[in-house]
Amino acid sequence: MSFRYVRRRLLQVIPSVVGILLVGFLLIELAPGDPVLALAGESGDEAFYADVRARFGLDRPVAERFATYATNVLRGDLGISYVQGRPVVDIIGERIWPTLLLTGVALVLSTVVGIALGAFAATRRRTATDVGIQIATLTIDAAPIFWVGQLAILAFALYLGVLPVQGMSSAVEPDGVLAGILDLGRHLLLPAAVLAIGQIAVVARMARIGFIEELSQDYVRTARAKGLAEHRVVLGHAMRRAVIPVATVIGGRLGHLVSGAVIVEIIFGWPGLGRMLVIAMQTRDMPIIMGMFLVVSFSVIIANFITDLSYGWLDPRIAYR
Amino acid sequence: MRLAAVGRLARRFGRSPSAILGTLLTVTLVAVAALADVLAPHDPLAIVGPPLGAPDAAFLMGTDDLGRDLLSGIILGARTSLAVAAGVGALVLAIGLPIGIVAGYRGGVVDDLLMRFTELFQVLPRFFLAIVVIALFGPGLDRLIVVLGVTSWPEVARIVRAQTLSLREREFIDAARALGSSQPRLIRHELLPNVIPATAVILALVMGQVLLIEASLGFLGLGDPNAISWGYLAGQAQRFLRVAWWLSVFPGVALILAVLAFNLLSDGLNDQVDRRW
Repeated sequence: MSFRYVRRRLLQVIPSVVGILLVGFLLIELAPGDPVLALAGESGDEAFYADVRARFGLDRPVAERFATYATNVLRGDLGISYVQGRPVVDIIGERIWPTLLLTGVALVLSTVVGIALGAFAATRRRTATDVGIQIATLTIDAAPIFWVGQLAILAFALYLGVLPVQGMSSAVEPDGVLAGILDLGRHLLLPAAVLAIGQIAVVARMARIGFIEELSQDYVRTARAKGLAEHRVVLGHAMRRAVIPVATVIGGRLGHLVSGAVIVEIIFGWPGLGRMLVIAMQTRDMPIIMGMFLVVSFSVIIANFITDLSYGWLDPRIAYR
Repeated sequence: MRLAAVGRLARRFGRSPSAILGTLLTVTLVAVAALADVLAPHDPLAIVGPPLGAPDAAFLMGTDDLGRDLLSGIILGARTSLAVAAGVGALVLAIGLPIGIVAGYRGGVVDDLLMRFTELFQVLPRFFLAIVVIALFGPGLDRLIVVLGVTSWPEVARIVRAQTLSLREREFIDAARALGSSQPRLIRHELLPNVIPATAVILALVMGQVLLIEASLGFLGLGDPNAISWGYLAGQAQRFLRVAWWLSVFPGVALILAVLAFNLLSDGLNDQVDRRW
C-alpha cells in the first residue's frame, strides 16, 4: 500500500464530509420557524434575540453562515444542549462508551459467527444444512430488531430467568474488579446478541457467496491436489479472499449496528447514545439530535476509509495506483 | 425484450420457490392493505373488549391495554407499511434510474461526477437522518417517504449504471444505433427494458429495508401519529411485555412476512437475472 494511495483515498473523504455538513446545514436552514426561537427559546425580548442573532451569525449571508457552521463542527463544536446547558460533544462523549461497547461486541460477534456460518454452508452447498441456513438467515434478515429483542427478553430473562434484562450493571455493587466485569458481561450478553443476530444473517449470506466463488478457483484446486486437509484449504486459503465482500460493507454495517443499537438500548435499558437520542427527541433537544447524526455519519466515513485500506492486506493482488 | 422472452422468463420465475412464495406474500399484503376497511373486524381505535385480553375466538390476536382489537390494528397497519414502501420505491426509481442510465451511457466525466454524487448519498445514515427530519419538521408519512426516498436510491443507481455499461457494448444496441435510432428512443426501447430485471432485484430489497426502518421509527414513537403502524403497535407493547406477549409477537410476525415478501421476490428475480449462484 503506497503513501500515494492513502493520500488519494484521504482526498476522496473530503467531498463526503462536505456533503454531510451541507445536508445538516440545509436541514436547519429549511426547518420551519425562526432559528432564533429554536436557539434562544420563546421567552426573550427583541434585544435578546438580536444579540443571539449576531452571536450565531444568523444575520450573515448563507455562504458565510455555512462556513461558520462547518468550521464549528469540524472543530468539534456541536452546539449546546437546550436542556442540559452543556456542550453536546461532552454529553455525547460521556454516553458513547456503553454504545461503543455494545456495537463493538456485536460487530465482532456478527463478523466471526457470520463468516463461520457462511463457510459452513458453502462447504455443504445444496445440502439440507445449506438450505436450512439459507432459510434461517433470510428470515432473520427480515425480522425487526425490536421484535427479536422483545422475544429474547420473554424467552431468556422472564421465562428462563437466567439473564438480566435491564441496564448495564446490577443494583448491588459487585465485589472486586473481576466480579464487576463478569456482571457487565452478563448484562451485555443478551443485548449484544440481539444486536448482532441480524448482521450475522447478512454476513453469513455474503460469506457463503464469497466462499462458493473462491472454492471453485484454481488455487484452491492446487491446494487440494497438494493433499491439504479440507479445513486448511477453506480456512487457510479461501478465507482471505472470500471475506472481502464482507469487509467492503463494514462501514454500512456500522450504520446498521448503530441504528439497531438505539432500539436495543431502549428495550434493554442500556445507558448509551440511543437512550440519549430518544430522550432528546422527547425534549426536542435539537443540538443533541443533530450532533448524533453528524457523529454517526463521520463514523461511517471513517469506517469506510479504514476498510478500503484493509483490502490490500486481504488480497495482495489488488494493485494500488 | 420480445414477448416470447417475457413468457420464458415468467415460466422460469414460476419454477423458483422463493419467487412463488414471494409473489404469494406480496399479493396477500397488497390485498390486505387494499381491503383493510372490509377485513378488519373492528375499528382499531375503538374499545371493544376487555383490556389486555389474551387471544381467543372473539379477538384472534388479543386486545391491548385499552381493550382495542389487535388484529384490526395489524390489518390497518399493512396499509401504512405498504404506503411507505410504495412511495419510497417510486422515488427511488425516479431518482436512481435516470442517474444510473445517464452515468452508464455517457461515461467519462459525467459518469465520474454522478458516481461521486451517488457515493455522497450512500454514506448518509438513513435512520438518523430520518430522526433529524422528524425532529425539525414534525412526524408524518409524507416527509418520511421523502427522506427515505432521497437516501435510498444509490444502490439502484449503481446497478442501473453497471447494467447500462455492459449493455452499451452489446451488438443489439449497435444494431439499433446503426438503424438510425435516436438516443432517447434507444434508451427507452433497447436499454430500459433490459435494465429493469436487475433494477427490480435491488428495488425489492430496498423496499424491504424501508419497511424495517419505518417500523423502527414507529417503535420509538416517531411515526405518523394519525396512521396506525406495526412499529407503533410493537412500541406500545414494550410496557406490557411481562403480561401480554401477544402485543409484542403479532406486529413483529406481520412485519417479518411483509419484509420476507419483498426479499423473496428479490431473490426469485435474482435467480433469473444472474444464474451464477
